[in-house]
Amino acid sequence: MAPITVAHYLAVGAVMFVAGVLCMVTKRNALGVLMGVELVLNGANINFVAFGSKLLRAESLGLDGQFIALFVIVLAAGEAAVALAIALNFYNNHTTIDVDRADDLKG
Amino acid sequence: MFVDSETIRFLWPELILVLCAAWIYLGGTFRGSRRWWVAFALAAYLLALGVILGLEGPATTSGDRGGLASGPILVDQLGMICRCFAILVGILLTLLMSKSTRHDLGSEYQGTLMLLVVGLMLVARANDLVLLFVSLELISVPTYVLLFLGRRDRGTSEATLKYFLLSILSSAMLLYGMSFLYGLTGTTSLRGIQAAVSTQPSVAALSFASLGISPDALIYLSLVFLVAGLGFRLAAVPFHFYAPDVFQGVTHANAALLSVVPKVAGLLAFTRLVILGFPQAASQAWEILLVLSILTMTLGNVCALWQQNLRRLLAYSSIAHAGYILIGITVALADSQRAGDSQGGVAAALVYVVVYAVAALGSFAVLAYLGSEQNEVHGVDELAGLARTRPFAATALSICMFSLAGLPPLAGFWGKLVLFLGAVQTSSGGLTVQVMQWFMILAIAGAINAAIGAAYYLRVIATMFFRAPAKTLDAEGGDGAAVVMLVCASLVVAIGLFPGIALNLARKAEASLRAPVSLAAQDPDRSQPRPVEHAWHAPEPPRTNL
Repeated sequence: MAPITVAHYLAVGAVMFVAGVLCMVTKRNALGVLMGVELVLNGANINFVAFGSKLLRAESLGLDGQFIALFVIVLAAGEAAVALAIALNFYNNHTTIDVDRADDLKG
Repeated sequence: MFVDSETIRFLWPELILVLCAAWIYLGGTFRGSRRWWVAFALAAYLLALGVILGLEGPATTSGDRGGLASGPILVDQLGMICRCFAILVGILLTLLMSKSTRHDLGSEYQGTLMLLVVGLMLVARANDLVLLFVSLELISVPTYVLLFLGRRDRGTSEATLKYFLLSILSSAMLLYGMSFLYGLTGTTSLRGIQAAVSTQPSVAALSFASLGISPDALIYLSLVFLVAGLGFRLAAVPFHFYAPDVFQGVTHANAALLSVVPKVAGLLAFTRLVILGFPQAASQAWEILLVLSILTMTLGNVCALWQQNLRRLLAYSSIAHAGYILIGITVALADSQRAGDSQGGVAAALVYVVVYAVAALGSFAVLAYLGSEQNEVHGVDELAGLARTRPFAATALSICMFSLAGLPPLAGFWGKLVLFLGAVQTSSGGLTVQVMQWFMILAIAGAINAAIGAAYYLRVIATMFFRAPAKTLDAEGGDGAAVVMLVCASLVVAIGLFPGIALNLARKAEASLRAPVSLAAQDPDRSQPRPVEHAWHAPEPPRTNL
């Protein structure tokens, strides 16, 4: 069996990223789209952690990659809070959170 | 990425604003008066401005122009000028929003706006991927809240949702692109990335090659994601879709914010990250951006021609101006391929974004001033005969729109002139025939677009001056909006009459961008910063401190 290399982690990250983008594009429920956002951000996180690990280089890079991932996780939590407020406001005005109903503005 | 007391000292202006914002949030629950919190916010901005000028004026102008690297921040001329501009934008937006908000939300509005200004100030001086990303998010998240607080009707909730989803997707793409930069270079410092990418083959590149991954391919991948993530903030094609809908749905003050703050932040991030970070990929990068630039300005200007809604029209105008800004970035990227003199691409883009920001803020301020809380101004037709009913507002709007159209002797003319001159100079001193042809096409496309653009601005001005007034507009936007309108119109005229001052400042900023940095921190002799060629080789403290 081939050893696990950083390329495998990159593949997982890329799959998560693409899955997240697909989720954002196809889901009609605003909360479903929000889950896609989480997938996309965490796809990038996997890359950071993989690049910072010892799989890629013999010498240590310190914890920079892991710290970026932690920052992003906290940010994603903050954005989710704001996103829920936005979704609630949308629901109050449209009585649905179907994003396809957001079609009033055009010109 | 190590922060010590020296770094904290340089961050005082930002810290003051963050503390004031926290105080506004807290105090707002006890004291509701909108007027009081506007005054408090203005005082905080002025205090921060004073601290910047007092604290860093000496630090950035003394010795060589290179500036200091301290922890994740870079103290240089570019950062200093852009932070002063960020505070100016903050003051103008505070005044503009002083009456357009609901009375009980005044403190939340001002506190959120202040955090956003801090984000813009941090983008201007970020020297680290982490700080750059976090400060860009410090702009985005308050923007969502401000859009949401502006109004609570159907249109606003839809615009907020659209902006939020696309903005977070663009942030994620930016982050994904940054992850490859980090992987290739093994450092998060922007200056470190710049040096590591230019010294090939690095250790990381070799280890990638052993995995069967070409490092060059990763650089291009990263470049595409970074351009996508930052292109959204500039509202460049093909990431512009949100702009017209979102601008139409939000209040005038929020539209002003959206047209100014993300653009400035996007340009700064482009400057620090793409122009400096990709010396080898520069030839591919300028090709991508040149095409995007032509597409962006053409699409923006052509679509604006038949818009009847004023905010939609200004949204397409904002897209078109993103195209002009991209000209400067393209010129700077083409320059970075050779060692000779710079054609001033970054300086031209900086001047242009400032000139655009002032004129756009002025235009939105006039529109905010003309409406009231119940009746906002929406259509171009509502402005008919404004020159007779509200002559001052009409004059201010005409000045701003003439500047956006690029008519001499206003500020917009000089902004366009330096941009186009940069493209022409690059085409005449280009490396190959192909480069010369492409930049000539770019300059010609810019000139044609300036002509198309003039058409729709002149349509608005003609409506104000040559049509009979249909009804008198409320003009209840408040004194704040009136002040912003006056300040912006006078700034446009002032920069138009004395363009040399703005150009010189921008040139200094560009020079500091390429100059070597010295280390401020961890140096026993503070008065004589030790010139270190590679700032990322800072003697790091033991990792266990982290």
